[in-house]
Amino acid sequence: MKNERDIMALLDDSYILEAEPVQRKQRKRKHRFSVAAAAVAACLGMTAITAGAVTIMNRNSTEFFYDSQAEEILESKGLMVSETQTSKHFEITLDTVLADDYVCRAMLTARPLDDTAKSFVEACLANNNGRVFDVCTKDGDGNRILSSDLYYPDSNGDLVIVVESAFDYFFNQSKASEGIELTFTSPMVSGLSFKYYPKKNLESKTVKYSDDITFYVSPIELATVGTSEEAVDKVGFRWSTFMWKEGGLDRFLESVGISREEYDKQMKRNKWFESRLVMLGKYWNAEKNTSLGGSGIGFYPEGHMELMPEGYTDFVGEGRFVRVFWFGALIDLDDIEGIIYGLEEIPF
Amino acid sequence: MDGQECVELFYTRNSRALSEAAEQYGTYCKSVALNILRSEPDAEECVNDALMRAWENIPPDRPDSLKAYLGSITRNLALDRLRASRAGKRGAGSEPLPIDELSDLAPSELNVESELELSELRQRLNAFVGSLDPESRAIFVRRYWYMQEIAEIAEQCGIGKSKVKMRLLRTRSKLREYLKKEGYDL
Repeated sequence: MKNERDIMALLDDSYILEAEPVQRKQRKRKHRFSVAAAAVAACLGMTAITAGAVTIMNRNSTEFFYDSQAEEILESKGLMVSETQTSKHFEITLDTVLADDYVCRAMLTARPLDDTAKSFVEACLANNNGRVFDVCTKDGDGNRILSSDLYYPDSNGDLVIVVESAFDYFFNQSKASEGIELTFTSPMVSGLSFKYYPKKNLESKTVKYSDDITFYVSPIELATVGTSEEAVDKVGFRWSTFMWKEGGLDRFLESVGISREEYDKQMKRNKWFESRLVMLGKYWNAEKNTSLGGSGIGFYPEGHMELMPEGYTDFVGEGRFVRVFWFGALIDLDDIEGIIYGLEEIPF
Repeated sequence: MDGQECVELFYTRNSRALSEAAEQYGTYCKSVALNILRSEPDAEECVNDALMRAWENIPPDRPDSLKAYLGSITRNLALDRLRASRAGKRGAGSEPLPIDELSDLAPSELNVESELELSELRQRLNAFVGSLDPESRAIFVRRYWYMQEIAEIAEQCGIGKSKVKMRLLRTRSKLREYLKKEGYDL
């Protein structure tokens, strides 16, 4: 055997060819940058800052990814971690860890400390399909947790890193209490690691949709929860949005940098405009239908990409299956009184 | 140009064989390497090495499927490269590969230098894989030959991650029982 103890090296060609995976370039995966995309994102970032109140040099991942108020909101709730570690070339700060019952989002800011680091980031974003570092997440027993690590170049040269994990049958809330070890293994940041505890720290609300389906909302996601995988998959997702309380919509629009006039104009054109804004956040470009962040949507700078939410139905134990959709904005649950599924209003 | 025509180019020592093979199977081989190495530059180097290895080995080799042949070489080279880069490193850079989940299924007494023993194991492994239902087989091969992430397999098969994990767990258990029944000491 070529590779000792690798019994799969003995597999027949027919089985290898039969199982050939779909090529990745066909998939609508999470945020992967091209050079052009990075440039566009930089412009978008500048626009957001012009409208915001914080200087560009000092913002962290929460402001980049959400809005200029996010840090203040998260700080007031005691959710900013602000733990910094430094390698020879980078300073990385774990800004916040947001967790509800089903997902956890860790947000970090990596600051290049020299020209070598800056060139490294540029080269990775240009040539490495948007991937910059190698990140590994493990539970308290050292078992690897499936996570997505996503990279966004800020216009000031910093790099925003968002690591998203979903709880499932194996990595459940009790395992979460033992913490997640996030380790960087890339040479530029090798040895840097953060231990964080994705214990639920976000409020949530639920609303029953049918006998076997419940919708779950937190500031960072909408989850469809059901007693069977088939039922959850069937409900899927129909560009949901919210029943806003008075003033709620205006506060939301402010957070995503859209004026009321622009909102009204867009809603006349497309009844799903608002729900896309919830899912895709402030980087969504309605004209080009491209976005950065949100519910598993890639950033496609060229051409029209029909944006569709992506999610997986997972068994989380206790007879529950869950399908998760991330928000591209930080939603204040005090501003909403229910969800709108498709066009159906479902109050809490 | 089909695979066999390309093999003929190798046989006649026509240097077009390399460019044709790269054009037709380069993307496929790169995806195989990328799943293992997680680095575009390393994966590209690995594909180049695989093509050169094929140039050295054809002839005398005459693969029925050039695609699978190149894919297998690429996979082996990528694993070698990964092991070499891990050598001497402890901790950092040593996350387990999917294939490590099968490490306890390689017969402990197997003589890897013995063609006969390998041939018998090959026969039994493929009989087992052939006995799986198509979905379980695809999941098993994608995980342990292509080294895909659970989430990728789930997405491409259109099922949940938990279902993929359960299928893999069951298939590994079945394979263990099967090999034991066939007299292998695991």
